[in-house]
Amino acid sequence: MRGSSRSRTGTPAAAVTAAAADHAGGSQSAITDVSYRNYEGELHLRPYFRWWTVTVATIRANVNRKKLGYWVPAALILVIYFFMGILHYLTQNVRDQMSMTGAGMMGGMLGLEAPVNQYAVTFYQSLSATLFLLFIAALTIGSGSIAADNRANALLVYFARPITRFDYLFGKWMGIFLLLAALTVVPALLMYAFFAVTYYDVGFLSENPWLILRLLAATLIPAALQASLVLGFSAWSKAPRLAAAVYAGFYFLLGNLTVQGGRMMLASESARARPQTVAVVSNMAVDGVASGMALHLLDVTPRQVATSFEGREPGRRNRPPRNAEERARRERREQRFQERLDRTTTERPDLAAMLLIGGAMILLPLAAAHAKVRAVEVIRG
Amino acid sequence: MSSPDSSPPVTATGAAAPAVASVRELTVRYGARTVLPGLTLDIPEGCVGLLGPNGAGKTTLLKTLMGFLKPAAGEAHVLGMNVATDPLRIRQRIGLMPEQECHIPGMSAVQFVAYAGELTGMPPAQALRRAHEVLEYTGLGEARYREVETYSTGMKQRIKLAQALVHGPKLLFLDEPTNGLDPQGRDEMLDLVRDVSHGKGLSVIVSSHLLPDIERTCDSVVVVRSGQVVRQGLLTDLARTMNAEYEVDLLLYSPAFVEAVSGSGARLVASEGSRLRFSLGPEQARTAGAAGRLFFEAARQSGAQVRGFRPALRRLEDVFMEAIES
Repeated sequence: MRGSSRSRTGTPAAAVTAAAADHAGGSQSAITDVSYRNYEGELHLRPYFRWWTVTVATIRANVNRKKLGYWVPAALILVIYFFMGILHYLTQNVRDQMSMTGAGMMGGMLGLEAPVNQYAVTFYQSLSATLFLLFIAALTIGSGSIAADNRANALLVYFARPITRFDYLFGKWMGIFLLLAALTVVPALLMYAFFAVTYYDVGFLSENPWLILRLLAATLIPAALQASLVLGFSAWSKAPRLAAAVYAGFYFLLGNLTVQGGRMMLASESARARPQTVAVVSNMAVDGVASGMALHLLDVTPRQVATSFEGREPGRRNRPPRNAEERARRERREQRFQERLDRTTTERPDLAAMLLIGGAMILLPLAAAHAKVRAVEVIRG
Repeated sequence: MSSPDSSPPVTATGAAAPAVASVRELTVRYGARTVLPGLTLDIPEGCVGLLGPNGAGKTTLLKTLMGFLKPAAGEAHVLGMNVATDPLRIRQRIGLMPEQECHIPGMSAVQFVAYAGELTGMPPAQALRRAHEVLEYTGLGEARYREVETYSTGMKQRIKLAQALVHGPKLLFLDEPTNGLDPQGRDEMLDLVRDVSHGKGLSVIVSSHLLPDIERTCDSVVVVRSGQVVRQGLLTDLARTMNAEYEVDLLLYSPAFVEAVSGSGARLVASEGSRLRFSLGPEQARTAGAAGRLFFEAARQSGAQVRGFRPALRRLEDVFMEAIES
């Protein structure tokens, strides 16, 4: 086949051109030369950016393949942020209208009194509501990232080239991280832009100068956590589905254990005396760490979040009850609300503990992956 | 050289061929097991076959030269660079076609080969252009936009060669390049290996169990046994029998001729129709004239008609078996 008159481009047009050239000139034109020629062009070692090639390939592979498991969560996250933004807008506007017209009574009836720092609370609520979707996206794009390479012996292709284990792992991690970060950061920034435009007059930007940075940090942390964990599980498997199943098991098991552990502690009198411990235990899961860090970064307390859903602080009412029946109804609601609050941790988990657990969740899986990823399997005899 | 039987290949002018890879007292261990116990070897330019029985240390040697394994002692150089201190630069200048199937999942052939080029440090545009070239060269031009997962075994072998060639390596490691190929695919692959390793400024080390493959593609061989070199040299040199064996063509097979030759101290070692192969005694083997006199005398005695005789060449299999059993 080599050295024949076959076109190098392989396209019919090129083949016709080549045939015409042969016919006219009777000599081998350059386009028909498919013999081996050495490459003498540029070859760069790029010591600090070799990983970027792996990152670009990881992003391209996931975006090009149109994975539903990534794009459906992406769409849902956008919808959630949109919905929360609209809810916030309505809440604020109705409240403002009420204060301007003096129709406080109506606001009280609707329970639409917003707590302080409402922007940050809305950001926190939106982020919390999307964490599970982020997990689904991570599972879709991350579980096969190294497992599929293990199955296809792709590591030999990588490591037969000037690529170190760090380059490979960091490149993969960065690819997954950027894809996940796009899901958390882009909607949050859109909401921020919406708030900035809508509440510019009431000092949104001037009163919250650091909110955008805090928001960025809060939205990047869950992406970093998910990227590391899913990569760690993927590195130790040759089957993407198995890696996904094991990571999902870990995610749900840890999530349930911490939630149940927190509830059990809240039920015990002695543990309730140490709310900080309860808060840390309740936030030891993947999403818990992300939420706990977000509480600190956005300067929001769990109580503010809980009361924000209710739209009020317990015990606050603008209008006295009209009759005994309404009073009783209000008391029952009040009691249920209080019970719910009692079941909720009211303290922010300790920042140092969250940093420690979060750091471990990011670094340990990467270390495990680093130990596993090798060009050749060496069996020590 | 670690064995008195091995000698470094020489060029046509008689000078020692420059080594593309050399190891000195190289010791590689897997835990407590020593696979390469102080190996010393120079691999010359050109196409070199690396031969040896299973467990001889061929693959371990290749892995060490690639920098995948850390030697316990000794040192190795590839293209003049130290494997221990310069593994990345070495890998930028060599290509590896591994024995086992390997590809990047989810990529078409052209994406895969271009990506392999980019990983080696090629600018993306040049990597893509070069990927098209090497895919055409390896005969995958028509299938370049298909996903590699859908390829047949033969096509997967070719794409492994393409990804190893994309960045224009100076040294190519081929580990069992004809693994799993049908006869036609094997022929085509050997043609590619032969073509790429001759006159293209590229040296090739072929590790294979298939001696005919080595015979067809390589200029010289290194035979390894238990982590030591037991034979090394140009194939043409190793094939010589130093006049110890002769092939005689008769018009018709003649038992009387065989008897007459055997009576003079020679021994019939093989016969195929009227072609006979004799192992001569030390006196007769000293000169071609002595051998000639022996055969003519036997022909005169037996009445057989000799059409020709010449020093026999050994097959690589004979060289290999002799080296392994020595």
